[in-house]
Amino acid sequence: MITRAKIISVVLLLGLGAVPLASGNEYVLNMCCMLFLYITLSQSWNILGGYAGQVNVGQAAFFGVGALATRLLWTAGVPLYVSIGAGGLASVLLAVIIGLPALRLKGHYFAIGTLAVAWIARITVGNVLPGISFLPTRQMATYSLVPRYYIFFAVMMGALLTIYFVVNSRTGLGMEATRDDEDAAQTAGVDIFKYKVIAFLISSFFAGLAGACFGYFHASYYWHLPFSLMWCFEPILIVFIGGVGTFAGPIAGSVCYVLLKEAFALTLGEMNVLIFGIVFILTILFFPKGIIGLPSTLREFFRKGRRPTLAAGAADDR
Amino acid sequence: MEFAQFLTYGIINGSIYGLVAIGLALIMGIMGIFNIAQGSLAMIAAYGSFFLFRYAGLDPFLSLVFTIPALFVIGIFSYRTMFSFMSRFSPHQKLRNSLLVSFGLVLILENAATILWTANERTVTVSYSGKVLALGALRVPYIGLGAVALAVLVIFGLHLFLTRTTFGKSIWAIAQDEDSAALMGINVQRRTLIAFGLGVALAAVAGAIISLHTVSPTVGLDWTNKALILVVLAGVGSINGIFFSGLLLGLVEALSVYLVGVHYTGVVGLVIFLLVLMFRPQGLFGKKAGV
Amino acid sequence: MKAKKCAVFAVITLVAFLLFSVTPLFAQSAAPKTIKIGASIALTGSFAAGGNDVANGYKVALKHINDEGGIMVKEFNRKIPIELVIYDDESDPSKTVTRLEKLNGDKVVAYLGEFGSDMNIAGLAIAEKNKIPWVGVTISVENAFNQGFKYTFAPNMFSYMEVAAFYNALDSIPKDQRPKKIANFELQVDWGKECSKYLNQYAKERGYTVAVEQKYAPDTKDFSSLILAAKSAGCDAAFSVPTPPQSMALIKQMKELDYAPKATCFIRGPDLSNYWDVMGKDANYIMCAGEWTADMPYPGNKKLVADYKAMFPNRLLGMPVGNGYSAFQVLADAIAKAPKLDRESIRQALTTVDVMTVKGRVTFDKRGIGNVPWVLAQWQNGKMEIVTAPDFKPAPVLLAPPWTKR
Repeated sequence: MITRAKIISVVLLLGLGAVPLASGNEYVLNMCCMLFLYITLSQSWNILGGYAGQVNVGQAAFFGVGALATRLLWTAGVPLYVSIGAGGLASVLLAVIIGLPALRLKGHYFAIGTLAVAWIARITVGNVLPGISFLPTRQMATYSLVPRYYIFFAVMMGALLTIYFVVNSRTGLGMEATRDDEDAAQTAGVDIFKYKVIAFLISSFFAGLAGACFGYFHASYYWHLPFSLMWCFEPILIVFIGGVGTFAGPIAGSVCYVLLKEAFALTLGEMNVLIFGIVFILTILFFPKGIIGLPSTLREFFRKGRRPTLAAGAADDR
Repeated sequence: MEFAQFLTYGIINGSIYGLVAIGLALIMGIMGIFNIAQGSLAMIAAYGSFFLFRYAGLDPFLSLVFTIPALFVIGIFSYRTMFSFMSRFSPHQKLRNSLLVSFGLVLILENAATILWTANERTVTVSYSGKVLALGALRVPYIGLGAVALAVLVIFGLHLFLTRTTFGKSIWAIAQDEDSAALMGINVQRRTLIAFGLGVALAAVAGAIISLHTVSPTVGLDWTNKALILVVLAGVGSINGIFFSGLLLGLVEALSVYLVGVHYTGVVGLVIFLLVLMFRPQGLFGKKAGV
Repeated sequence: MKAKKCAVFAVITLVAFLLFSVTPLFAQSAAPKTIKIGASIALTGSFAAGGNDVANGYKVALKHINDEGGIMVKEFNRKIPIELVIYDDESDPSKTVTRLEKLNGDKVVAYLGEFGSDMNIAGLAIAEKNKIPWVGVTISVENAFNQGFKYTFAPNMFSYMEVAAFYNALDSIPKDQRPKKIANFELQVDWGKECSKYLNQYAKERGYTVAVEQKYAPDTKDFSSLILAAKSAGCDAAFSVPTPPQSMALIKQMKELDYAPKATCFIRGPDLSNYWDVMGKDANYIMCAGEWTADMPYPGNKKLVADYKAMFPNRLLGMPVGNGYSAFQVLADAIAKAPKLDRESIRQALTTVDVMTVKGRVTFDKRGIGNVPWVLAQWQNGKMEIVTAPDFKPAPVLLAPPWTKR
């Protein structure tokens, strides 16, 4: 069915696809790459954390493994697409080894358990590879942001399409049932473990691909950079602020987070992060449903004439 | 004798971990508020201890008299402005909102500290810094002894407070079932406010010890991560368990030098943590009924 | 419904962003109003201490040059003031890349470096890719300059120079008191490993022994096994490149364990100008990088110190300040010598630069590594003294007595 939403989406996609051709500005390409990266990474977190309800605080391990595998292979001469695919697969492999046992844990335990995994990865990589990954001369000489833009774009679209179809299918229903009430779901015959596993594998695959793009993107960086624990926290924040468990949440959250931070950094000097923190808290206090919930929150505000409180927040238990 | 020396440092470091985690055990473990600003609040207290030492010559163990109430006030203020609105939320809602708000708080605290006091590294060096109690060849630093003593006092003190006093017991009651507690005549709002203030005040104790180590605006997050590990290792909701789990972690890290290099002791600690979770998914002292 | 709202929202934001970032193009035949130089610096985050020092060092140099009307640009035969654009990268290398791309779009003619290898590494590769000359400050990793890059220059002491300066300092001690057994605490970062390599290589050549080698990581807080190993092996000298907090914690633990080697050299950490202030007497006898100190007898230092104190009354005069000032001087000199005010000419001019700065004479080798004075400093009774230097008579190295005798 041809809806207005679909037309706008197609136009948007074509527009985004044309950006590198229209604008040679490296800064714009760079920002778009970062935006696509954050959208991919946060959406990958969303499928496990938002839809399946398993709050994973160790996404950096999967992101990092993807980056590591891709960078090692690609700088050694393995063709690019193979390297990137390998990045995604390496991350899935990690999910199978670590993630499946981890799924036995619940709630806080799962969250901090995954954080521990990411922390172990960070320390280990920092010790085993304490140096810098430079691009070989040939790849440095031919470095261009244009193919990088398209690869980030393709990975992002792959993630969005896959996750869109999954969450709108029976599988998605199963995940949400798992999230909303595990015991009730189990009683109703839902195989909650299966849905958790599927969500975990999809999540790690796209986190790994995002990492793979990261490994392809940077001209030179310290090997441990993609394992930094900030890659654990930022996707969670973005999804929560955008609207957890919604498809558009990570997209809206990423756009606001990345662009707002950029605008502040360019204009506010050393106060920029402080002011961002203040704005961040004010947003949460006044828009508890996240950015996606903005229109309805504003509607309620104007209708009822007061700040949205428990009624708004408690009503949608997501 | 080397072994005994490592053991000693293991106990000291474990106590320090416990001190950082105890406030979080109350706020997160019992009240269900995911406060990742705990370490950053300890950082603020550490700066307080540093400046009180620098300008008033007050020993950090003594200036607790000022920093604990100060952080209690900060805690009350923070709760009132930033956390109280989520008191009636479901656990999942609470987790999400408290995570977000406390993250914003981290950004504010770190950057306010950077702007006000510069990001230069600070440390408190008292007259007895580096001095030890010599037991034969074993050297037990006085500051370390102080840290262990504080940890014992604070952790077991909190446990006693929560289990023996009416106020403390009401906090448990609120955590179990807020509506019933309210029906019993407990002023839920006020008690929660004070409990949160208490949890933040406990960060001041950690802050004093941190100031004797090193402090800069960004030390908070690393301490918070350690505290999170400890709260879960002990079992969410456990108070006494924090002390023993801290000890376990500290000892594992210290003695792992026999197995791996110093640069991997952190990994060994975390691996042991994960192994514990594999065999006891509810933590060492947690209740079996999950979160 | 939600998808539509999201799409509309995203379209609006993207369009706004594109408009915001498009830079107008117009031919420049007349002289530009300013010489635009850009830097991405960690003003917030874990490297903010050194970052702000570097930024402030640049600002003092900027003021000095602009007070005289700017740089005399050959191409237009007039003085043009410099415009320094600094963006905060929050101690995040990915953001460094983004900021430098923005500066590229802002049409800067050169980049200046920042404090912190993590970010500098990302930055210098972008400079190479964008073909914009990059003058580094506080970067010591030799590996970065073995990549064949043409646009990167760093007027700094690198790992092998720091180690050589350490041995110079040891050599200057009378033979009968000279420490011979070195304990190497190797920080697990590339800089630490490079220093290790040279420490061992030069030890053989110069008649010392590295008796103990222990690894530790940037997040290590308990150094007891390192210290006890060094102590039991009888090492009378210790070398490392700890992080600033570790440079404090290590000394404190060495005191607890009663380990006092005659010579302790922590290249990084004790060079913080507030080190003595916070460590007290325990900081005595510690050697550190002396790359720039406020009383170096090079021209321009007195003015730098005076104006810095006036401009930034609440800030300490850290080592990165002088390094920043010096890097700015080098770049300014190259711009003045360049036949044209464009990136390529400036790059070319940098290769042949030969200028006296606040930390000594600077030229560059083929790799872009600076030929700078190799200097080491030592805390002596509250003052940071230079103990080895090529251009002037340094203070003698003081040997540390046991803890109980201090």
